[in-house]
Amino acid sequence: MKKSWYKLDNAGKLYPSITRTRISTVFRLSATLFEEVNTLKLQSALDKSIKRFPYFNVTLKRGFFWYYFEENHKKLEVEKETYYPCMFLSYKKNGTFPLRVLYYKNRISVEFSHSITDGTGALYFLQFLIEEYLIENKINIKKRIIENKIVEEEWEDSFKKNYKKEVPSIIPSKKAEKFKMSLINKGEYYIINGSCKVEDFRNFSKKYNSTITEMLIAIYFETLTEYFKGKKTKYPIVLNVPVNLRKIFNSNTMKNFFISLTPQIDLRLGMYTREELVEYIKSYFKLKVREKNFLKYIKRNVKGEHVFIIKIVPLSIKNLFISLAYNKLGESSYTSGISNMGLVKFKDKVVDDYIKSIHFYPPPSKENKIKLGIISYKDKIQITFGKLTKNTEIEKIFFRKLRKEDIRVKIATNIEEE
Amino acid sequence: MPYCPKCGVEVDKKRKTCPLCHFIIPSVNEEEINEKKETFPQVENIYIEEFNKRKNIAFYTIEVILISILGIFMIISEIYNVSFMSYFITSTFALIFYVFFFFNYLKKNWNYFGIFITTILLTYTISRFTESSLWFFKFSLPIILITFIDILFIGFLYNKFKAKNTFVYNPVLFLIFISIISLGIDFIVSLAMNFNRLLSWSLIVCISTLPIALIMLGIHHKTSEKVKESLKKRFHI
Repeated sequence: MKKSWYKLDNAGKLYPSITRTRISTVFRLSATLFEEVNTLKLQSALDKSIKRFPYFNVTLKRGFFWYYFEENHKKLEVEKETYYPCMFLSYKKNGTFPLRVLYYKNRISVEFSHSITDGTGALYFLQFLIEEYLIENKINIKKRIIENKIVEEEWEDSFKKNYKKEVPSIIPSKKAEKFKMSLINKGEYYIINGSCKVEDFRNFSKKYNSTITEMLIAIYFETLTEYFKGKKTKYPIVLNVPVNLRKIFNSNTMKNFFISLTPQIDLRLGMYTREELVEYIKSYFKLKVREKNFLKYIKRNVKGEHVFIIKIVPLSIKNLFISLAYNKLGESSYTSGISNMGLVKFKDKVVDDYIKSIHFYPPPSKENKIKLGIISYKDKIQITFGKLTKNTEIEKIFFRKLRKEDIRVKIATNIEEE
Repeated sequence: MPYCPKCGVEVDKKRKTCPLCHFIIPSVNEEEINEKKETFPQVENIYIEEFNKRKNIAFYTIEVILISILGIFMIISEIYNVSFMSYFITSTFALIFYVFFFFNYLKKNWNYFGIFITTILLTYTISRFTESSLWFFKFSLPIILITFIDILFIGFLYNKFKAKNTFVYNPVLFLIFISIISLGIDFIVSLAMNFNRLLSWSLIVCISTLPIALIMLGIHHKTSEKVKESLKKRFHI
């Protein structure tokens, strides 16, 4: 199945208009192997993988009314890691891919622009690429993460498919409290990664009768509470928590299909205990993670696309308005983001013998100077703070809290020592 | 395994300080350190590379356009013998240099000095086209000097206070800049025109601007608790 061009999905439409140096909308997934990466074999694996994912073998083009993706006739080449992670892709330029594949010593990384897919789509690609790489290394893999046959649903814009005109829309959230930290230079992005044992974290969560994700959000809220304590807050502390909608709506799309939930606490009402936070988050997700509720979010996101006037406004003018609307309604309504990709599993267990760890770096954002990306693989949970500030107060509070709960943490960072 | 004694977290073997609290990590076996592979590569800043590329294109384009305009002016001046064309030629010639300095290819101070010299030469050359070049020495040169000294002074203050609240300090610095430049121009003009009073309108400017600056600084740095209490007592609603 091959398409010479296709439309951007509903969420993807937003990203090319808002991309700036510090808002790259690029996130990273990486796998660290036990052996050093062989560049030639990786390139060969990439050549095969990109054929399996033709919707990623594209370049962004400007239409008169909307951007669109066109088949890219250039060859996507693996690159050695030479820049900070998650840097902007000049994908508005002719022939630029909306993704890059990088290697550094034992690590293979894929960086995707959100305009083309979300974490789930990118993870499928990384897993397939790793499998291809191992096959290149004569490893016999019987069960692949995804079938070799491309199915029509992978191209689907599931937002549009599940859009119901009669459903009421969700009320947009208002302003959120922000980190008042100074920004680092353009072109830089700091990473602080904490590696813990999944088992330790599971035991800790069990104590509060919650899931790992709920516990992580609770601890992050507690951290933010401590950080903002004594500082005058004007707005609530709001977290952006993306939820994968594929299982809920039975979708196999490789394009974006997620909704951001926004749990929040307000320090003007007083401080919160951990028990209070866990209780709130559990109830919040119980109430919000429902198909009916997500229909309202989908309605909010898609309804604009169906308005005739919006459709016929030229792209350049749309860009201006989208950018303004995003600043007002998007990132400015969150204090920070926390995204948990969950536990990564390969269908064939033999792959696990060659991979040491998997990491997820969230995309940088000027409005949310610190974001949290989490992923688990085998017995390790990787908690990664992506930052546009040098201030390490948040991470210090967060990881010290984990240590107090007897969870062992190993820290790695790309912030150079002074 | 190296640990931060304060945070209790394990850190990379090569690190000398804790990435979270910057506390010095007690040293561990050196052989182990050398064996350790680095988690992150030595990286470059992609933005600087992209920015310089775009800057060079913009600089090249603007300079080519300016040089072409200069050529057109010179031809018009030569063929049609238009007297006022010399003003345009001089200004465009100066503009070519201004663009170079504004694009910041040299060190900051050299660019600043370059703009200063270009402005002096530009005004001097233009003054040579007029009947009397006296206005250059009487007005132009001193005003350029006072402007540049003022910019230097405000630049110094800006660097000193840039870490502080920009919403307060930037307007305050702007008001100080306006006051100094007004005083300077008023003084130079009055002196050159032999006025009785060396300072007149600039005093009104200063009286309007400086109190605003002082009030802003005062509010920013907060009044004492005693004054606050007294204000509250007198003006409570």
